[in-house]
Amino acid sequence: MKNNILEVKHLFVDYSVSKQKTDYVLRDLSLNIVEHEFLGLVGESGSGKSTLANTIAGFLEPVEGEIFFRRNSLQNLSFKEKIKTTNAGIQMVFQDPYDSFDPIMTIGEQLEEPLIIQDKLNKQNRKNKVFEMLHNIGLVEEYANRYPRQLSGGQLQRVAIGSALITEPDLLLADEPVSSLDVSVQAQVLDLLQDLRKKIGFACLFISHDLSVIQFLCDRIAVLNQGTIVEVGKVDEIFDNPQNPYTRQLIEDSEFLSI
Amino acid sequence: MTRYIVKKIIDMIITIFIIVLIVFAMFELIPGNPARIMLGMNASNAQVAALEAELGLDKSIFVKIYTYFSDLFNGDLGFSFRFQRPVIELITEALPYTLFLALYAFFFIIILAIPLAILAARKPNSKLDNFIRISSETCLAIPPFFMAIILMLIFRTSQLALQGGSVDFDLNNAFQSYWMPALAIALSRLAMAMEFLRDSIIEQRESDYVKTAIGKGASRSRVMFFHIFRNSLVPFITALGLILAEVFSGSIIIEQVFLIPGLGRSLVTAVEARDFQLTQGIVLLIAFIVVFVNFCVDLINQFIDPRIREQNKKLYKSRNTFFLRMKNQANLDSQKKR
Repeated sequence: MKNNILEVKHLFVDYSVSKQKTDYVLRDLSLNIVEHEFLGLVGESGSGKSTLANTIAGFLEPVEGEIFFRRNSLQNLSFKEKIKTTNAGIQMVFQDPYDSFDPIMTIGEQLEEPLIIQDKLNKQNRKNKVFEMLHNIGLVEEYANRYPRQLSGGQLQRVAIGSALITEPDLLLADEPVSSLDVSVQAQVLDLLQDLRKKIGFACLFISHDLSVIQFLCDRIAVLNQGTIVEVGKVDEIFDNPQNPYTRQLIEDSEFLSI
Repeated sequence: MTRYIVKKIIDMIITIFIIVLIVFAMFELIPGNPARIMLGMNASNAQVAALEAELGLDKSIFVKIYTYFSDLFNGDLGFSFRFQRPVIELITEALPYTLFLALYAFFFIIILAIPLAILAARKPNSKLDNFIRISSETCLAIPPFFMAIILMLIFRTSQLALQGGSVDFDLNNAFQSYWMPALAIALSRLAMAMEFLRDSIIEQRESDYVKTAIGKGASRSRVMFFHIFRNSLVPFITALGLILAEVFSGSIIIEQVFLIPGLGRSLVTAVEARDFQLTQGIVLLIAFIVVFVNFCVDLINQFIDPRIREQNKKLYKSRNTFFLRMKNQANLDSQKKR
């Protein structure tokens, strides 16, 4: 039996400024991800998918509920303490690859940065690791000296995934990483994630509104509607026998669009 | 990079050439006879004619342009009738005061603007942010000479002002004597620099790459100085270039208040005395400084931001492709004719 890497319990997240008036984006949300598992999170725009990822990553504070990472509670910890507790074991990949990189740093510098922060390797070993990761994500060594604007969207998203995985985290939060890419490039990025999963071994919360992507990549699927998980289960089970009307509607819409 | 620098130097030379032409034309277009204006209404016609001959005012416009440019090329800016000395000598004497005052003010702007912008950007629209912005905007609304008077009243002294003008220029003394006029200029120009940097920091902080860096475990200071601040530098440096130019013009009035024998004071004296050659020389020099500052800003931006380097590379590439196409088209046309 595999251990839970992430457990989210009864999470409430609210964006409203006023203390009297609450408008929950996430309400009573609970889910778990076990080691090396890929959990797909689907839901329409505004259902709270990115909010959940940002809350798990520590960019947003929940109003109520708890998040456990490797059985350690992340509640009431400052961002610095969270990073220390998780040992930077939660990494995130964003939707827009162009905005995910510091425009004035080279690709090599950006891949090396997490290793510098961790301070576990010397300069030569860091350099070797950067080249190894470039190789893993299908780019040649010369790309280390290029700047983000000199790469295509697909190449940048591969680098973003490489940069997130270079420190070998336990959990990757992928917030719609392929939705801004065209279909052929999407397939390359999804193949890369599959490859790296086999090579490195990590769990992933993969957010998407595209059910076919989730079906291809994930082990389980969680359906989010208006801030609440309405259905969760193995991908095949959900696709073959959806229980919730909202899930059925999502699957029907996705089948209609793919015709 | 070398090509870019060469291009920028050529641009600078063209700009300076145009400025020289404008300054020349400006003094040519002044209504009335400059020799008469300089000598006053009581001067005899013979005296006016003699001065006209001496200044070369009786010659044709082309001869005058040629003489003006060749003299300028040889470092001859003319002769001051008010001071009875070559203009270049007077400018060389006055320049260190103005240069020091402007750079000192610029130093104040930088050391005040950076921490204030970082503090204000920490929580946009907070009480601290509003306080910093309102204070700096109030300073912006106060003209530098009035700011100087306020500072004098606050520090209850005019001694420093007199000291600034009466002593020979030496660096050790200057730091002590010039802090007040430099601060007066700096406070009036601070808001622009501070707000440019504040807005830029706020904009950069919202970017996903900052979130990525935070998620990687980067410390707050690393995120601020290594990522946000470095990316905010381009608009800030561009603003600083404009401000430095304004600081030079701001020092003209301040030098009057504090009796500093710099370019500004010389300029006012020259205008009052209708000393055209000295006025022309100082106006040209200030224009040169502004052009040179802009040249430096372009180079620094090019150096720190790869996006600008890449943009310029693309521009050259597209230009080269365009010229190549034109050349090929011309070859094809000539072949067809044959």
